[in-house]
This record gives sequence, structure tokens and C-alpha cells, in this order.
Amino acid sequence: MAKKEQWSSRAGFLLSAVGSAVGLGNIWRFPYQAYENGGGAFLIPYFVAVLTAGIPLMVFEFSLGHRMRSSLPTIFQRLSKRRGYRSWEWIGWFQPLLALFIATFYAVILSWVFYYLGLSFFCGWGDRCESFFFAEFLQTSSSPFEFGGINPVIWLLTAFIWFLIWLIVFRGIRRGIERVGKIFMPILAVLILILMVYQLFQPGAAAGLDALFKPDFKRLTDINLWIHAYGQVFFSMSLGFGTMITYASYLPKESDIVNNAFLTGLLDCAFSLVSGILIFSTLGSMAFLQNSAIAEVVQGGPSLTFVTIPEVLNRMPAAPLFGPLFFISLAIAGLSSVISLIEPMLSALTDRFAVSRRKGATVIALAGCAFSTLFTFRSGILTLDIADFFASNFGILTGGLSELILTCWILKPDFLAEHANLTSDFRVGRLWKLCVSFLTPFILFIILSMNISQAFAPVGENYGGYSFSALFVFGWLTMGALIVLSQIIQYLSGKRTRVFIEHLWEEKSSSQGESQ
Amino acid sequence: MSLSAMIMMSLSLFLICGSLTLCFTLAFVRKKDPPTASENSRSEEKMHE
Repeated sequence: MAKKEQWSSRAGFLLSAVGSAVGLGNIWRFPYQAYENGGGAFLIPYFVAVLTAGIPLMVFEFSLGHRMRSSLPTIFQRLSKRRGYRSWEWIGWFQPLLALFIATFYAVILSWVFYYLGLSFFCGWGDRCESFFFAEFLQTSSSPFEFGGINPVIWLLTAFIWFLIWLIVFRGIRRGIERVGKIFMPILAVLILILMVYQLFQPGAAAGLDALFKPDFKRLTDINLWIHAYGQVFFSMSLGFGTMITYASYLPKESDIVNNAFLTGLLDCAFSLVSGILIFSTLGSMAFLQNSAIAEVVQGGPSLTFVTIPEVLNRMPAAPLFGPLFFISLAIAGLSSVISLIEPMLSALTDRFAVSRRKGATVIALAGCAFSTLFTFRSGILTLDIADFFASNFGILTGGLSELILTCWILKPDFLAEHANLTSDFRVGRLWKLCVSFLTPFILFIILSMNISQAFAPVGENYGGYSFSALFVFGWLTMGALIVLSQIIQYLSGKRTRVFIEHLWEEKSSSQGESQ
Repeated sequence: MSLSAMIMMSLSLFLICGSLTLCFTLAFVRKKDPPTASENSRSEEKMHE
């Protein structure tokens, strides 16, 4: 068996893990969540959530990956067999499949970012940013079922994104992912800091920051505020779909687990906070220029990036500089996250089907690109919105909850605590076990239940106001298909099929060798 | 910008920067001794139990 590749340095691992955690969500989700949920008061439950769920879960995933040093299916198979339970290997396939599914629409969003990066040099979106984005660029149809044709520009850019992803993961951990992390993350930090400092000196920035940070302490008694804070932390840190477990499995034996988890979690937090300051000082200056209230210009999600920011840029004298820097930052944050979404499946394929890393990367990139095509139709943004809602609110939560139930309830988390404490600067103890065994699963269960009730709410009160059939086909059916597919792959990865596939690869390789 | 907003912003930045400084100091300045052979074998035994 080939020796497992490892990170060449601690900094390389940290930067790659932070690159995975820091993504588009930090820029367009956190500031809006904070603003909507009590402003500065939101930061109190947010920090509590970071300390009681985000970092403990990060320690848990790092310890699990580092202790087992295998791909996700092997980890879950070995864990379930330790107590003689029925195999939970399917979780180890469900998480990589989910990550890959998320990567398919993440790549499409990145293609929009790349397109806007090109336009940002000359504010090519014109004066009507909203109609340009939805009507001219995306040519959005009126319903998720009204597919329309493929948007060729978006498809070509998406194929280019998949080529970049392939190029990076194909080269392996050290020469690919780690090298990209070491280059991208410092650049991203410098760019975001430059943009933030520039925006802080613009007129109206203080009013924007006031809107973001002014605390409404009465909201602290609202349970929804706490649920949103825990949800934000959980989604932001790339937990629950196996990326961190896979990354930690490449750590050398003598690696600090707990401090690495603290650093990754805190750097993700810091990035969210700095992004919040950047976005709200920008919105503040826009409100100042339009002579309107902040509430009228605040938006979250893609609308913030592709409608509001271009509107700000249209009025900004330094737009040809600020615009490209902003979209380059987004592209870097997105690209470093999307490559981490590929790694769990690549690691699983190489481990369980004895496929070489290069062949695995090529197969995944081609399959991913083909599947991404579904989101490049004119209905793409609508189907993508539903898929994103279900993947984030059901898929990730189900994956995270299942791994915690198996490891902390069926088994006991003591072996992970002991393992983490062996090489770590900080020690974890009872409080950590309490967090990962009870607090985090309980909160995940509450969030999952709330999301299910929202998905089944009557049309108009449900998510996005979509029809039940649209939510069923693009949401429930997709999630169900991922669970069934993970069961099928678990069956296929059984010994007989594995031997057959390995034999097939060997035959193919030897015939290629002979022909050369 | 109101005083309460200023305090919340400064506090959160101070908290994050302080914790990061502490963690970075521990990670890259102070080096913990690697686990001893007996500690390692104890962990292995636990795993096999």
C-alpha cells in the first residue's frame, strides 16, 4: 500500500484548513446574519457558539481524522466495527458525496464571480445592476422547472473553474492544495485588510458600522437569535461534511490537534468580523451617496455581491481598483473552499477503490463539471438556491449529527480526547466531552427540526416561496438520492467489487504499458 | 457611530486578536515536548481495547 501523503508544515495545514473554512459565506452571510439578529448583540451568542460548538467540533473532527488516518468510509467502517454494530460506513460516503454536490453549484457561483471580476475593471454591468444580473447575465426563468437553455458564458466559465480545481487537486496535497493555501491565504488577508482600511475612510462608513455593531440586547432572550448564531458557526467552519476530518488525516503523527483547531476556528471568526466591517462600511458609504437609510441598501447572499456591490462601485471614484480587488478576494476565498470540497471524495476513492490520485481527480472533475451543467441553465439560480438550502440545512446537519451520534453516543469520545491531549498544547477534558456529546448534537437536532418545519410550511411561508414540487424535486429528492447513492457505494466498495475494480485498473494499466 | 456600537466592535476585535495571539504564541514560539514512548503505547492500548 502506498504511503499516505502528509502536509509538509504546520503553517501549510493551517492555511489550507482556514482556506477551506473561509469562503463566500463569511463575506455575504455573516454580516447580514449579524445585522438581522440584533447587531452587536449577535456577537455574544456568536462567540459563545464558537467556543461551545465550533471549536469543540473542530477538535473532534481533527482528532478523528488524525487518530484514524484514513478516508471517511474507512473511518466510519472501523468505528462501527469496534463495537460490532451494523456498518455506518454509509456516513463516510454520504459526507464526501454531499461535499461534491455542494462543489457542483459552488463552482457555478464562482463562475459568476469570475465574470464579474472581468466586468469590474470598467463597471461593465451598467447603471441597472439588478436587472443586469438577473435579466441580462443569468437570464433567469420564472420557475425552477422552466429550464430554458444553457447559458454558454456561465458554462464555459464553470468548465474553467473545474479545470482549475482539477489542476490543483491533481498535484496532490503538498504540491497542490498546500501550495495554493500558502499563496492564496496571505494574499486574501492582505486584500481584505486593504479594502477594509480604504472603506473605513469613506464618508458614511461610520453609519454602516453603527448599523452592524449597535447592540439590541433585548434580542438576547430570543431563542432564534441563539439558533442563528450556532447555525452560522456550524456552516462557516466547514464542519459536518468531512473536509476537516480528511485534511487532519494528512497531518504528521506529532501534530498539535487542539491548538490547530483553535487557530482555524478563530481565524475563520476573524475573517468573518473583518468582512463584516468591510461590507457594512461599504453599505454605509452607499447609503450616504444615495442619501438613504442603511436598512434600504442592506442585502445578503448573492444579491449583496452581484447587485449591491456593483451599485456601490458605480458611485465610487476608485472603482477600477476597488472592484477587481474585491472580486479577486471573493474568487480566492471561493476557490480555496471548493478544492477542499473535492478532497473527501478523492481520498475515499483512492483508499477504497485503489484508484490513483490523478485518475480519481480526473474522474471527479469530469463528473463534477457535467453535474454543474444543471445549474448553468436559465433556471440555474433558482435550482441552485433550493439545492444550497437543502445541502446546508439538511445534508450538513444530518452528516454532522450522525458522526456525533456514532462517535460520542454509540462509542465514547474518550479515545479522541486522549489522542488529542497526547500532542496538544491545550488539553481537552469534561467540558469538551459535554459540548460534543450533548450540547452540539442537541442544538443540531433543534436546527434540523426547525428547518424541516420550514420546508413543510405552506407555500408563501416556506423557504423562498417555491412550490412544493420544486422543493421536493430539487431538495428532498436530491438529498434522498445522496443517501441512497452512499448506500449503493458502500455495497460496491465491499470486498468482491473492490477486488474486481482493482483488477480492472491493473489490466488497463498493463495493457497501456504494453502498447507503449 | 454610537458608543455602544464602538464598544461592541472594539471588544470583539480585542477578543479575537487576543485569542489568536495566545494561540500563535503557543503554536510557533513554545514547543511542547513530543509524547514519551510510554504515553504513545498507552494510547495504542486504549485504541485496541
